[in-house]
Amino acid sequence: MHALTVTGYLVLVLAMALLAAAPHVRPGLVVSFGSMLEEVMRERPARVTIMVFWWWLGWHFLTGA
Amino acid sequence: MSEQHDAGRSPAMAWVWIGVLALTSSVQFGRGAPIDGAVFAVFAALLAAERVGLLPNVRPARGPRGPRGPALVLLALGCAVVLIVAPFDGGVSRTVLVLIGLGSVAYFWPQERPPRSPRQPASAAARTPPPASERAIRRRTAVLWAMLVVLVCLWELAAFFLGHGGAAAEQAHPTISSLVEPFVASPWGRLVFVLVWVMGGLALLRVAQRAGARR
Repeated sequence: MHALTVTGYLVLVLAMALLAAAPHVRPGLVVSFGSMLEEVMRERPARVTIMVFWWWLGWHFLTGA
Repeated sequence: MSEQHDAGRSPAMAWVWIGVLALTSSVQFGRGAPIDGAVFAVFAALLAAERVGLLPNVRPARGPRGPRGPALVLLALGCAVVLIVAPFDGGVSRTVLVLIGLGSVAYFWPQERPPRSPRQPASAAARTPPPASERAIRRRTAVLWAMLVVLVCLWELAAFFLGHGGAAAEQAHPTISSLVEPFVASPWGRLVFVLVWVMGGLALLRVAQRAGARR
């Protein structure tokens, strides 16, 4: 089960990498991650939520919390 | 509602983001991390209060501003050095992280100008709307990324709950944290993690500034 769980994570990471690379391989299919992020972050709730998740990653892993 | 109170407001999606924070807060409290839960809850409450007009809109400062450009990068690198060399779960790391969090709010919270309409956010107000085909591509991109993020969260949550039956169950169903923490606990792992985290924060800030936050 350990291998299955880890494989699940790896599959999802791979899917994200493919989605990030897709605009360079097939333009017109999806926009770049940065472009999408910029559009999403035009709204304060999205911008602040993303900032909080980023900060929390540091807090969680660097303080052992 | 005044123009000031319209800033940063789009209808349902804003509440979705607030809901994400509130849901994450409850998960954090549920897993026995009250400080983490409180942080998510505070930001959910602040955003909700701003949405209903209990808080004034904060616009980017026109006068003296905080560090920008190279000065901000140097400051971030200074924080990174402290986080790399400070004891793993000591007061110094926590203090620096709290200061980084408070400083980040000053950069990410302000909204450049109010959206003209729910579908035309702040910095897009002066632009002509993109054609329907481009909007469809953008929507497709957002949906695909959202699906992947939700899948990661569900997989992580499943591992968290399935791993609660003792050491064997925890070993069989590792969470992302249990996989990453041993790496971060090593000196080189901590160095890599801190640098990636700090650079990620600077990249997010740059995107936020382009998107209409503090300039």
